Order: sequence, then structure tokens, then C-alpha cells
Amino acid sequence: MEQPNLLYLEELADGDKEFEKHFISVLKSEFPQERDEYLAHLKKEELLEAGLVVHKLKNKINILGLLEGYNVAITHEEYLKVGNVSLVQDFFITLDTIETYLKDI
Amino acid sequence: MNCIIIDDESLARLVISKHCSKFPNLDVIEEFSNAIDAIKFLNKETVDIIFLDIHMPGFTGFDFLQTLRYDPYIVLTTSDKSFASDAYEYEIVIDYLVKPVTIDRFEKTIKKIEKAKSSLTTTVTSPVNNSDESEVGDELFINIDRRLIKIKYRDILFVEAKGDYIEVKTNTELYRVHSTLKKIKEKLPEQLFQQVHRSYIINFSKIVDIEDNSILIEKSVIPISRANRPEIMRRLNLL
Repeated sequence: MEQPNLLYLEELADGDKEFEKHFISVLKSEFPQERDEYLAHLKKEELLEAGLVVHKLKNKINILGLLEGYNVAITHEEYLKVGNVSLVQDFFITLDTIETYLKDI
Repeated sequence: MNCIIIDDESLARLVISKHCSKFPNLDVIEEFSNAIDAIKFLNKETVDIIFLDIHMPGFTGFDFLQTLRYDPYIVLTTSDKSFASDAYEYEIVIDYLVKPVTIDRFEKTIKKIEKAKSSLTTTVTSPVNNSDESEVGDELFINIDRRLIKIKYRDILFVEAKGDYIEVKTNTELYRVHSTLKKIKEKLPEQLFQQVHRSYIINFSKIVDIEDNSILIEKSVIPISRANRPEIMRRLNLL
């Protein structure tokens, strides 16, 4: 299974360690909020709203280099717009992978 | 070049801001997490470039574009490649960046803007150096792509300041010039032109009518500032 990485951030930061730290802290603070928001909408069957949060999470997934996860997110977002929840479990896997990774960095 | 960043995702704003910091000629003067706050800001300020996220809750980037009162360079940022065709339907959209934006791609955008900017006019010149009315010429030359284009004073409707530029509006053309309202004001004859607002100089002979806080020039409504209103009224041949 693919694992997150910080290659994009390292290229962006270009050696600026303070920036890297700040970026990661924003990531660590925003990711759990958005994940919880997504789960709350799913629970209430607010699929359109859940899709909007997937859209936000999509960028973070991409930043962390999770290409497969990113593709799942793209399709999941589109599916949610038409009430299709078939990719929820696959998307959970991506979210769990990120959650574990963020605890370690 | 002054820029603002509008994106509801703080990470996305961080990315654009970091890229901008690598270009000495780019100055990020403000960041906004929603379009409404940006609109309020732009009611008071002008900027050269707006990095604009399309996909924002409530008021989207496309909605925002409809509210603009002048034409800064718009760089759309989005996670959706599918919006590209819609994006280029807006003339002011100069580029479209798919997130996460890389520095190489960002650099291409900035080069594109610089190229577009340099293709615009760069200076204003005038043969008029003497305020003596009898010797006043009747034209202004503006430099567009290294060509000096003559504009008759009588053809100018008004001049509008837009950030680093001014726009000279005539009956048939709109010339964008890299200059300031102050500079062109010095070149225009006082007997014909007057500043009516911090962003506008009008040709007095082109006034169609005047309301409380605005002047109609041809089909354009020009605001009048409170400070300039007494002088305008003084110059009118009131019955």
C-alpha cells in the first residue's frame, strides 16, 4: 500500500525548515478537523456536504503524494454528488493512512 | 506586482504565498479565506494579480469574477482540471493552476503575466510642455509596443487609474498605459480635463449629465468624490 511522503513540501520549502514546520503544523491541525467534518456529514447522510469536504481533503492527499488515494478521492467526490457511497471504505483507508502518518512526523 | 490570494484552504494559501516569496517582484499584500472579504478589500484597493480558488463554499471563484470592477490578472487555482474550459471563458483569466502547484508551473504563470504586462504600454509622452494656452497642442502620444500612438485630447472620454496602470478611454478605443493618474494629469490641458475622483480624470466636454455623486460620460458612470464636487460645480455653465 502506498505511503505518504513530504517530497512536495520539501521542494516547496526549498530548505526553509521553519516553513516546513509551520506547514506540517497546519496540516496536523486541519486534517483531523476536516476528517471529523466529513464523518459527521456522512453520518447525517449529507452527501453533498461530505463531498465538499472530500474536495478539501483531496488537496492534502495530493500534497502527501498519495496518488492512488487522490484518484479515489476524485471519484468519491463525484460519486457523493449523485448519492453514491460505494467508495466510502476506500476513502477511509486513505484517511487512516494519513492519520497514522501525521502522528509520526 | 501586488497580489492577493483567495482560497478557503489555508494550506493552499501557504503554497501560493511561498511560491510568491521566491519572486522579488511579487508582493502578497493580503490573503483571504473567502471571496466576500476579498470583495470588500477590493472596493478600497487595487491589485495587479489575484490568485483565486474556484471551489469555495457559498461564493465561488466564478461568482467573485463577476464582481470585479477592473481587470487585474486572474490566476485560477483549483484541484479540478475539469474547470479549465470554463475558466478561459473569462478574458481576465490569464492562467489556471492545478493544485498542488509546483514552483516550475508557478514560474510559467509569472512569466506569462510579465509578458502580458510588458506588451502593454509603458510610458506616456506629450509634445505639450508649455501651459500657455495659445501654444497648447491638441494631442497626447502614448507608447504601445514601442509605437507612439497619437490620441487627440478631444477624443479622450476619461482616464481611470487601475493599480500600476491607467486606462485612457476614447470613443473607439481603450488604451492601457503603465503610468499614474498624476503623470497624465500633468500632460492634459486643464481647460479640458478635470480630476473628479482619486481614480478618474474626465474630459469636461464629454459630460452628458451629473447626478449627486456621479457623472455620465457617454455610457460610463464616473464617481465624483466629495472633495472634487465644488470645483466641478464651479466650472459648469449653470442656468
